[in-house]
Amino acid sequence: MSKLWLTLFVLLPGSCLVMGGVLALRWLIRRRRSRRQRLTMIYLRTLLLRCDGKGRARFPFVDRPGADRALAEAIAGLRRMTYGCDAAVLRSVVRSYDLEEKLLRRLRRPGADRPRLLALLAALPLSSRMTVRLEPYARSRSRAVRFYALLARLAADPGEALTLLREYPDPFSRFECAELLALMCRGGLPLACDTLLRASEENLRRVGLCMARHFGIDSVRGLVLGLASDERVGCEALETLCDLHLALPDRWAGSGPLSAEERRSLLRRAAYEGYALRAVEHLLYGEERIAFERLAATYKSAALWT
Amino acid sequence: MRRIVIVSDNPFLSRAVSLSLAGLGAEVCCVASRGEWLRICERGAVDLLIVLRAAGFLAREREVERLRRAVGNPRLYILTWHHSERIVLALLEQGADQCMTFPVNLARLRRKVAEELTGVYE
Repeated sequence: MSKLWLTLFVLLPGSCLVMGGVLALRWLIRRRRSRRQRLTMIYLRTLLLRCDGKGRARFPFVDRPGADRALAEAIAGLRRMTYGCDAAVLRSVVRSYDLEEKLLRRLRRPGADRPRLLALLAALPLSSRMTVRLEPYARSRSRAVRFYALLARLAADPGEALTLLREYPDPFSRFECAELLALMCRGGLPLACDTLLRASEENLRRVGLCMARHFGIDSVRGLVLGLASDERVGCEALETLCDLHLALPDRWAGSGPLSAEERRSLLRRAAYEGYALRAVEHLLYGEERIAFERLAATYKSAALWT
Repeated sequence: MRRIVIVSDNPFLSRAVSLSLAGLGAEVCCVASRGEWLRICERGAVDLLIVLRAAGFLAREREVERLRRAVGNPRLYILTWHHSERIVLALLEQGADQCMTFPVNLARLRRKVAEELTGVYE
């Protein structure tokens, strides 16, 4: 009997209260997010008007909480998807609404989503003094924070790109290289491919290879061939040769630094890029030859059908 | 009135493109899904379709042809984040009238659309 009382008068209302609280919290978060998205859209319109030189259109509700982040997201979104917008206009908006300082304050709050905020900062036209102010985040324990701090510092002072990339402690992952390339596409990383490939640091060579692959720079063929025997970036150098449709070196056949997994990935890439069996057969081991034939046939039949 | 439909599941992108096309004397609609876009096309002829992702065209063969047959032969612009020359060529060979890669120059896009609309109606 007492158990029934306990269930009816304590546990049931208690769980209802908890569930109600959770639902209310979720509703509040969603409401705040949708309000911020609406503000971002309004600010986007104002920014486009300003970039078109149509007067000094005003940003409404800019004193509301969360408006600074909405404005920063509008500027960052515009910079990510377009080029040719007047950089001076965007820089003056960032300066006049003190977005750098406001975002730094957000970054310092406990529980802040630091990688996301740093990525947002990296897409803004920042002043060069931000390189120093963001330095503590470059020593963070979280890899994501360290990387996005690097991106933001690169965006703040592109002239120091080589030094900053050299100082970065972790080897870049493919995702991180893609982020760096996105920054490069926006003109935020003025680096030459051959300078990167000639560098002694692994990270710089990795970014250089990524750049050659992405932009199809085949004038650096000799340098990429030289890197094919490199213990650290050899596999990526071979992938780059495949992507650029260049002849593959004999080094691939040796036991070398490549694991079985890397060899399989390279075979797949060579087949996808349309290398014929004759072009790569000197590099293949017994069973790999059959696997390559099968892969090449698959990709070629797909090519015939499209 | 000329009709332009922008297809994207990213509201920020479609809003930015639609704002950049304002004042061209065309009705601009933004839709998020293929279903919505087919419904709009059923309601009347569409002059220009701007698709802000290439995935649908890369995943299915002869998608442009199928699309044109379904919605009455609009001009088709594809804006994509893929920078690979091969993908851009494949999209053009499938029958896209214009293929641009992000980041795009909105002023250039506006000029191209204006020329397209004038060319169609002159």
